[in-house]
Amino acid sequence: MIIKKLVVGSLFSMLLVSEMAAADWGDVYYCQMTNFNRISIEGETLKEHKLEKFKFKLDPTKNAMVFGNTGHFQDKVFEITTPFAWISQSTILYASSVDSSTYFENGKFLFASVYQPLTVTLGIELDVFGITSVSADCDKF
Amino acid sequence: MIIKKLVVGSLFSMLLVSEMAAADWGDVYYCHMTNNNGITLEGEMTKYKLEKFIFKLDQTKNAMVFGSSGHFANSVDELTTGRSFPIQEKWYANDKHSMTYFSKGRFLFTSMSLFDIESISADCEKF
Repeated sequence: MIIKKLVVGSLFSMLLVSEMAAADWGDVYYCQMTNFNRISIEGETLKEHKLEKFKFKLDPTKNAMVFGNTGHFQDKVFEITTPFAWISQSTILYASSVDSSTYFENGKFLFASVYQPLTVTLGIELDVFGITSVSADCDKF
Repeated sequence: MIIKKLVVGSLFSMLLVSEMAAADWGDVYYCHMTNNNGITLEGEMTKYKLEKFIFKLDQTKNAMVFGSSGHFANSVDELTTGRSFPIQEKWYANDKHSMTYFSKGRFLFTSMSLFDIESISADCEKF
């Protein structure tokens, strides 16, 4: 009886873990930054930035993480470099753009970039170099 | 005579400026970190010791080849084709999980691992 309970308990735990772990195309993740650090090209740590909320979708047609329309990652599209077939079997994702790299595992998000486009008034974008690092906790609902 | 001096002076200044800005294959850069920190998956930041390091701009490898000690020991970071202009002293060296940007003596590096992000900035000079 005890063994039966243990087996059932283990199976239930495995089911729960796999349910939590599975990611799939179309999933939308809601994230809260836990760190947002910027270093200028002169090596200065820039003032502390507000920890933002953001969201992204695992978009199968673009094979990418597609971000929402607000905040630091506004409208960004990061191509997923993890093998396509892994997406529904694994929570580990790598995504990249020309100047950035993103890692996602079990709801933990990391982002690093050596390029910081700075949008000034009138919508003009300037090339400003420096390092941006972001960590965040993400959930899907 | 004054015009001749002005022209010669201007040419000399331009030569000096271009000499300062230009880089060339074979140049060796001596760098000291101005920032070295990591952010974990949990969002915790750690500041690491600021090290010195050297690298050579190696033409045969089309890469930054780092010295044998310190953080970048023996690393070879291939320059990104189409975005690297050594003659203008500006280049990228990206691989799947790390990015390096160098411009006129300023060095930026960030790498992504399964556990954290590492961010390094450094000032570099050639002697």
